[in-house]
Amino acid sequence: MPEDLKHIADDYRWGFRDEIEPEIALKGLTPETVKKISEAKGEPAWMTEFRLKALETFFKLPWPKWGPDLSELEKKLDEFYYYVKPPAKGPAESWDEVPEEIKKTYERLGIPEAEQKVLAGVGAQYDSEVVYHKVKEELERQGVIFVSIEEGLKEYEELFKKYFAKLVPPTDNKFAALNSAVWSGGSFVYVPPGVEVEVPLQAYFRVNTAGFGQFERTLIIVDEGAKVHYIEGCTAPLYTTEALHTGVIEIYVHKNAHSRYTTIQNWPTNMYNLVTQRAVVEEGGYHMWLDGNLGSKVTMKYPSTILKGRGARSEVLSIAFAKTGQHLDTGAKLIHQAEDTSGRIVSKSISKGEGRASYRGLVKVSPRADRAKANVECDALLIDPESKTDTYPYMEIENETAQIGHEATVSRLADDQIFYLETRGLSEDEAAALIVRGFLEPVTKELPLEFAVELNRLIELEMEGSVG
Amino acid sequence: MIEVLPANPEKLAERLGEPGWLKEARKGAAAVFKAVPWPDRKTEPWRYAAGRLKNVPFDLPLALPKERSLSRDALPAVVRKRLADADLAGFLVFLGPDLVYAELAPELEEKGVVLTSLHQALRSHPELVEANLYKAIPARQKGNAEDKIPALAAALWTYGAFVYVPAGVEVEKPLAAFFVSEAEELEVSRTLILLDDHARLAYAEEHLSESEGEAVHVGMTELILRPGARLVHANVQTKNRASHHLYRQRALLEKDAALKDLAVNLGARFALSEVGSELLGPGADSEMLGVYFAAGDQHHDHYTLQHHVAPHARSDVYYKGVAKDEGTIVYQGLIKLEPGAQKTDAYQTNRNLLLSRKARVESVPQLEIAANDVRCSHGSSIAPIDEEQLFYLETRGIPRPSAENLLVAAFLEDVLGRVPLENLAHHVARVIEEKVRV
Repeated sequence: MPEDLKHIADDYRWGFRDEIEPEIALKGLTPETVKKISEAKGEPAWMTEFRLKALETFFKLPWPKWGPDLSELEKKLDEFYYYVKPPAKGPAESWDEVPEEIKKTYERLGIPEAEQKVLAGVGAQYDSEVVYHKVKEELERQGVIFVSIEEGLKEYEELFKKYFAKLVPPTDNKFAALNSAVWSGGSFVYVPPGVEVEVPLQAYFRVNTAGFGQFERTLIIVDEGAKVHYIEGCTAPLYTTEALHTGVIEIYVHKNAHSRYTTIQNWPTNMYNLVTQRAVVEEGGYHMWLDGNLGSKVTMKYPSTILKGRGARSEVLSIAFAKTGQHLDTGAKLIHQAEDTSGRIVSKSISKGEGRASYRGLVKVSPRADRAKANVECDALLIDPESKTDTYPYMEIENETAQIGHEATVSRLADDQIFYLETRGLSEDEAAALIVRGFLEPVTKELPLEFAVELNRLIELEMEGSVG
Repeated sequence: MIEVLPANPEKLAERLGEPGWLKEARKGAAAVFKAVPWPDRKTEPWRYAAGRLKNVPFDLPLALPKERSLSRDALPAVVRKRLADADLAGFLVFLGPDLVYAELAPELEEKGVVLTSLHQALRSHPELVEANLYKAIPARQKGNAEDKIPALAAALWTYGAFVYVPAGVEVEKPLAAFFVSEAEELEVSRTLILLDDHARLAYAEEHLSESEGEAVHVGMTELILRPGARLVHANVQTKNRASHHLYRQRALLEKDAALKDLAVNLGARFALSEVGSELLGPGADSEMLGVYFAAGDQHHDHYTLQHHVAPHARSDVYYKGVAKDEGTIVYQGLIKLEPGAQKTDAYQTNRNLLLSRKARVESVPQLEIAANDVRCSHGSSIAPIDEEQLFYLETRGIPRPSAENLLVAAFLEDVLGRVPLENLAHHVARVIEEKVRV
């Protein structure tokens, strides 16, 4: 990690300082906290019940015994704020207070100033608000619902109730239970049958959201034959002092529908990022997870697709870039439950310094899933002698006609390749960045252009001074 | 599943006339057994085997040596049949826990080669045994569920083979040990194979059964390869369908040592085979091959470990499995590179062929890499038998069962072809042919 980014993560104290009192701030994980969250949001009784039950489930479920070390997190669980309702005005920070290093990073990433301010949390989203209104008008005309998850519950309770927590119940895993108890923020999306949403839906267009949720909950329903691309997060570093993020994302892809969910996270390196993402795809439908993990101290995230209907397809493309102090345990799951379903997983990870990137995945073919096909490709690139990488692909096949393949390679940044590029006039850093970009290309080419550009710039920054 | 060991390890040591250090080791293992839980679905290498493990009757009486011996002509028929095709420089035959027959070419004996029972070696070569037993598979493990069965084995073994090849000695023809299980007993064995500097040996252990009765066998094999030693080792299991066979093997490879290993599981109702190599010196080379075929309700579970401690070492795993009927085949494997294991070449391939609708396969090839200047890769595939190839063979007048047989043989050919034990490879191919047909 370049010095300028590290300082930001370590030193910059963001969020609610003593002189700016938030309206409500709830520390500690108790039924009282949960009740107050529900009350503050004016939720129906069934949701309060749901949250309280989820909290019980959270306490009952054991901590995972596999994967990254969570013992520190376990110790400080009660120190976190589980709900913060900002004062009506929003945190009155000014752009001048944002440290120079962050501004510099934004500039080098080529992010427009208005967007920089949003990322740093100080901007009213002037420009995007305008864009948003245009997008909103168009969406409304098509009957698309794109609102905050809170609004979703309030305005579309029947629809919400039909889908909420059906794909990821609180009992699914410890962090899904935690999210279910304290969720706040996130999106509710419904695309009616046959509607194709042309522009990607981006979480930060949605002005009524209270910042980037720490316990965000997103519910996306793509009805028959509809098409949507949802984008969450951004490549630029996000600043927060909160050290825990557990999201739950549920996506329902109906018959012949087409959906994409792109997420890039670049949390500061004190963050535990524990996210459950799951999609279910009906007959003839398609879903893509594009998952980029750059930041956080620990990430545990395995986007999953249940291929439920005949001919359903899914792709998972994933990138992880782990630097010193980071353990990124990411992967994907494909659950084939129907005939002629197919899936592909491409995972590219880079470990630098003492960083550790792990791929953990599952391909499961149930007895009904005749002619299921899945292909998994995991490549790891190691930059330094101390860098670490792991691969744990599980394949559980209960059908004779399945065709499943898995390939993984581990390689290093090769001296001869760098040397070759140097002879063509590139500096060592440029050469390293070019090789890394080439390595990631099969995934980055699927990214929306502005993401790809930012990601490439970020990699250049990361690779500075990393060779030799 | 038993909560207490079926025999007292200290009394066992006394009864078997063992030295004090061994009694202590057994005691230590018994303490581990007591302290750790049985493996369950969450115990990583037991993930898929835990269900079958529950049905293993560990409460059968422990098999104790009865001092039996047999003439060559009176050996069990299954062994005599095997001896007829084998060209061996020496072999051991165990009937249950008794070493009933042993022979070794006199010229090898003169060169100091030892092929005997482990208890005999405790008397004839006490220092060698003491210095090397429990070295590759310690009696006192770190103490988690994974160690339950090795602890049981370390505490209760009552028989097994000991092989020693002195420095610089090259044994040209293979040696072998035949372990014939008897029914209704808990058989616990331990084998120690020790190759001194630059020694060479090919050795096969075969696990068979004479009757159709239910038996439980827990076997541990330790392979110690001193610098420059070269060992070809095979472990072939063709037991009856009522057997439970739990096998663990660890090899320690010092500088420039080379192991070529073949694990074969064709018989038993439940077979679990854990095979690992520790690459401790630069230039060490471990090639681990596996062939397995589960039919009926058989469950064949495999685990491989390629543990690279030293730099400049190489390892390769190539495991191929076939499942038909309701058979289950499992492969799990780990390539683990310690920091400093630079310039490693490590590969892992698992291929699976499914012959029927209800067959089941699990494949989990894993990598844990903590060094960057390495070449590592793994691959795994699962596929049905190729209908087009079958159809082609049928159009050439080959009936479907024979065509299937040909394709299975072709599928396994490249593994068996890599084993420099030709007679054994033929034998394995024949058993497989039989299994495809039935």
